Amino acid sequence: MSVVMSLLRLWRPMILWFAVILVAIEVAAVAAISTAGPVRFSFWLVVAGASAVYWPLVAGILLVSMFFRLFMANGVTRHEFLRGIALFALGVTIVFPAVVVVGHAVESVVLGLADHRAESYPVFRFGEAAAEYFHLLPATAGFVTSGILITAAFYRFRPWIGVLLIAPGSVPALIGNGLIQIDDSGELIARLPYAVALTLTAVAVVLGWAATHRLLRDVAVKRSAT
Amino acid sequence: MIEMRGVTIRYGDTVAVDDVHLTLPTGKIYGLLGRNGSGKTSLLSALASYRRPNRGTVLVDGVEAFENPRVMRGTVFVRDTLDLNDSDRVRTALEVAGWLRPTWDAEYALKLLDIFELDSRKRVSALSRGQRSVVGVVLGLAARAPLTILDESYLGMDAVARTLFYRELLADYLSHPRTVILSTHLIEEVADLFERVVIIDRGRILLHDETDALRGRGVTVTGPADRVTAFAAGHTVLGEQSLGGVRALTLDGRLEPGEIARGEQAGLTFGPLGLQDLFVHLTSQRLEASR
Repeated sequence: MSVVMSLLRLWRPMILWFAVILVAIEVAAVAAISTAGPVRFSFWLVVAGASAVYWPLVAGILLVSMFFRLFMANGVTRHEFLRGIALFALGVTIVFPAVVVVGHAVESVVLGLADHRAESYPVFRFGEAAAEYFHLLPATAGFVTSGILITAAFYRFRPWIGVLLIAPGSVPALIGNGLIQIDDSGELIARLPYAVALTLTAVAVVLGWAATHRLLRDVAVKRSAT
Repeated sequence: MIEMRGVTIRYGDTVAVDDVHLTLPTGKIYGLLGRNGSGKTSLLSALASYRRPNRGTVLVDGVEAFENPRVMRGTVFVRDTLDLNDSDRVRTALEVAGWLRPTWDAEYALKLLDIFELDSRKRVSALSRGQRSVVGVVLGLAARAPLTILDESYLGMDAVARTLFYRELLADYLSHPRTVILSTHLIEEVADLFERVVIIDRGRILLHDETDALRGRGVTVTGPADRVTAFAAGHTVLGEQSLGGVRALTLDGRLEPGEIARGEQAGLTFGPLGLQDLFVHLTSQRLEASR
């Protein structure tokens, strides 16, 4: 079985639990908020939007710290592992923003049917779905890349060098989330022309992966996770 | 054939493995012996591609081993500290090995767990030291990898478990021949398994030979202390043990048949050289100097 398929099977229980908890919180919170009157903001965009940024960061950290040794011990080469986590990170980058958009659509429709949307609620419009998706995707890509890169630096070097490298390792996340984002009220933000911001994010992500490859391509397999 | 050509491994200023040239024919059980800090684990890490040598190369069947998918898939390296996540269950560790290792024998893994009486539902963090060793041994043996390296991975086991392990290792090796390298400090206990022995000291290979040839390099003389002492006069003594009035000396070199006959007439018994005595003699110059 390939590295990416093995990762999916290993993470499946975690992903399912995460999804169940996220949906349970959404349903409970929106139901509670609705009792006080029409809902004025998208709870899903707040919670799932943050998850689409921070969960990929955590996933990136765990991919290296938990699984590098495990896969190496099972006869996988460093390059095969790097390819596998790159595909996994690509999947996270594609799927997470889609989950946020779909969840926003469901929340908006349900609240609309129940007539519980306030004036300020960011109503989901199908025509804006793609724009919403592409305003979430750069941050997700940046955070998962930074999680992997920072952990790879800690794995390769001594802890104090790892601490020093947190700053450059954070660049993909900072650019991805700093230039393009969607706020809690559903407003789409691009601090530079979108194409420029997207290009800068893409460059940061590619450089982040090049640095990760440089760090892990011949690293010794340590006895500890980092 | 496994070859190490001029392999050097450094950690900063410390040279752990120093220009090692070693050729290991495949399909044998090797014992890798060395004192603490002698470079055993570093040498094995290079063999298993866990660490790229600072200089030199490792070749398996003529191709460079490092980052070679075929070679790495055919190598299992079990360290005394398991390369598993503490939060994982034993069952998960075995499943992952099954997904990734083409030669993995899941049925045999379950049989080994049964033999060692280990519950696969336990989490790695909940295992005792001995149970962790069992998991390592199961991962090592059930992988059925053409190159199986066990680096002191069974030291945490109790005597019963170790005996079961030696028995299983030998049985599985005979039914599925492969190259096995065992690094250990329990030399005499496991010596009968070794077909060849490699002794490393301070990063250099001191000796690499057939076990039988090594045993023939000397002799152990046992009997009343005064008669053994008298018999040993003029011979190089590699090791000694005394219990009450009985003394056992390990002597370097072969004895003439006449010498042995005289000794036997004097009530002495003769046995092959103990590997541990040879190992201690070869690696203990500092010990000797301190006497």
